[in-house]
Amino acid sequence: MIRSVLFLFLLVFYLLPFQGLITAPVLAITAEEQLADPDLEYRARGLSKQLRCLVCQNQSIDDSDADLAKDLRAEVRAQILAGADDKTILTNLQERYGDYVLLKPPVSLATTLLWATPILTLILGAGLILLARRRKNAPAPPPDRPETSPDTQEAKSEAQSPPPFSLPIFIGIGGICIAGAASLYWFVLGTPHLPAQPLSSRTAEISQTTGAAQKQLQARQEAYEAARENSQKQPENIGAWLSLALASAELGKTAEELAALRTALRLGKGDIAIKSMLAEALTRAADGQVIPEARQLVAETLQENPREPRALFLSGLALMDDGDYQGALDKWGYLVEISPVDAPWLAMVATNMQQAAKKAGIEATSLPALSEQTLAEAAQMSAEERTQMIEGMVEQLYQRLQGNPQDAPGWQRLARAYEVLEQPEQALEAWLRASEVGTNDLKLQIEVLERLMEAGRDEKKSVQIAKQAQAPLARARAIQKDNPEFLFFAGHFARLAGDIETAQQSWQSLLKSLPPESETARLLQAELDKLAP
Amino acid sequence: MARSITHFLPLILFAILAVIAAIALVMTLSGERKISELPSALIGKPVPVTELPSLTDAQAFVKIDGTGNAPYMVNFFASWCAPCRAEAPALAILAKEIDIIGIAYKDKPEDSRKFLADFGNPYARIGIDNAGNAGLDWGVYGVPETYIISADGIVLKRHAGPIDGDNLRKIFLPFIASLKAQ
Repeated sequence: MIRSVLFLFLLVFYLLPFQGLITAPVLAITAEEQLADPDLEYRARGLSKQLRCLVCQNQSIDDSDADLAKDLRAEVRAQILAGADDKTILTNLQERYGDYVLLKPPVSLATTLLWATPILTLILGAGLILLARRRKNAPAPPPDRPETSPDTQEAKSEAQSPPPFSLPIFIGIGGICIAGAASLYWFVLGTPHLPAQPLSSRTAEISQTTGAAQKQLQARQEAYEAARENSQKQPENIGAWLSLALASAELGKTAEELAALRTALRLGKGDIAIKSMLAEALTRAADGQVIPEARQLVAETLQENPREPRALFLSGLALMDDGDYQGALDKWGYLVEISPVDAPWLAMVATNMQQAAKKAGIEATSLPALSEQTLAEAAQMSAEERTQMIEGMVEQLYQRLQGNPQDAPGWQRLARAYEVLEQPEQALEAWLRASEVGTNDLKLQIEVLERLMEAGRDEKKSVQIAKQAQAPLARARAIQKDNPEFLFFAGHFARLAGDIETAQQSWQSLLKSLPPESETARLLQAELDKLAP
Repeated sequence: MARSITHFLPLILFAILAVIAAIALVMTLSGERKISELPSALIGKPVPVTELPSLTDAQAFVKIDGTGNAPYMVNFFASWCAPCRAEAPALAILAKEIDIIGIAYKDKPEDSRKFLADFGNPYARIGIDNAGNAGLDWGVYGVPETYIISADGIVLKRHAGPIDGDNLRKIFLPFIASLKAQ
């Protein structure tokens, strides 16, 4: 048994050098690098094999394809041509890059242990073997030896006991250690919640994902090319440049994205939406650091619109960079407060807030409501759990609005949350409450009317909906009675209620405000013709 | 009981080795011990005297040697290097404290200029090291790399990789402040 294990070891060790021959790597060195004189080239190759590539760290510069290795090979050859001897060349490089550049470390005080280890191991091993043999071959040790008892009975039993380092014990301890180390490693780096999966289905999944990824990449490439062509055809069209920026961003073409955004910003005469997009792109290009130019853009954006979500997020990030964690938390807290419940950036903001809180050493409980871990967790939740969490938050919002029913944006947020939860009736009710409170907000009234129109498609409800629409219509009329959108809805709901005369009146006046040849005007005329008895 | 000690000797030796290995593993996993970080051979030695064409003035040269009258920094950068973009804000802050000499490592001059226009120019002077020879003299193995040099031209500190907010506050700013205090 021991013999066969030993034989296996020997086999493995003797095969190692041959394995290097079998899988000899393709030469990294190229023909033009080589010196014309074969003797000098032989010297250069020899030196290259002794020098470590500092980028790969486990290859010699002779083996490495890294740029730095190529430079070092050229340097070695230049010094050879200049007439330096091998030792000088190695010393020169050692002075610049340190001992580490030499694959064979020099003997120095710091490397004593390294060089002495093999000898120490040999001595230790020899000592242990000698000790074991002496014990085995000495059935009755002299009584004056300190480590044995004077009792010969005991000495005899000791001689018969197996040597202290028997193979089974070694294998046993080794096995336990390996198993322990493996489980430790797995608990640190493993993923216990992932179910086991057979290899065949895993490879199938991988090839499927790579296939999908390739398709996606191709689609993005096509979109990018189309966008680029479009922007060249219409160099004055902001939309074309913005879509080019978007397409470049998806392909990771940062420079193009930045250029496109700058053009769009110039065309848009400093529009803040584009400013904040550019600031975001600059930040992405700088690996998440908010560079001075981006800071400037963010400041300009916030000056014009203090509620711009992108700029708010970036200004928090800039504060984070500066180490002002509390400031960052305040900014992001405000952003969470003004964002709709289903805003796509909330999970990201929450993650960032958690980091900031951790760095600042602030307890999570003092974070503003609706943020903290809940939203970060939402990203990892199943759809069901997420719905449940949103429901809880909606309930909270609802309770708060009961106490403060004058909060029109609050009702709006609640309505949108109900829409996300696919509870249309509650959503409509919240919209109507918002309409009641936000009496001077035309945009809100129009939005409510849109929802009512949607709900009115159900014929069973249409009469009731037409009634419910009267109040928002009256409010919209009070704000701006010739608003085209208001006129459209006024006509629509009048028709729904069967009041043909009012419908005709409203749409006639809407028709007057439309350009006569437009598509909308044509459609409206068609509807009007249908109204006529 | 000397006998029992020799009996457990292998186990004791193994335990010592295991503890050393465990400490190394924990330090590596926690990021405290960086296995790829290399020591610099230049620390405490005079700067490699370097003379490079200037990026900003086609006629002039940028010379780095020990004849300055204040400590300064040397920063190897390149437009193709993403971490160099990341350290732009940190360099902008450092530029207020100390002169920084930039060396555009293996970069086309027009690309370097565009990079500086995009991400800000924190440098007092900039040399062009198109072939990477200055990099070889300094022992650079990847950009960005930053050196702090005393007024009499001794390399005091070397930092490989980008300077982020963390090591800006923890290493660079305190170190420069202590240099100034001397």
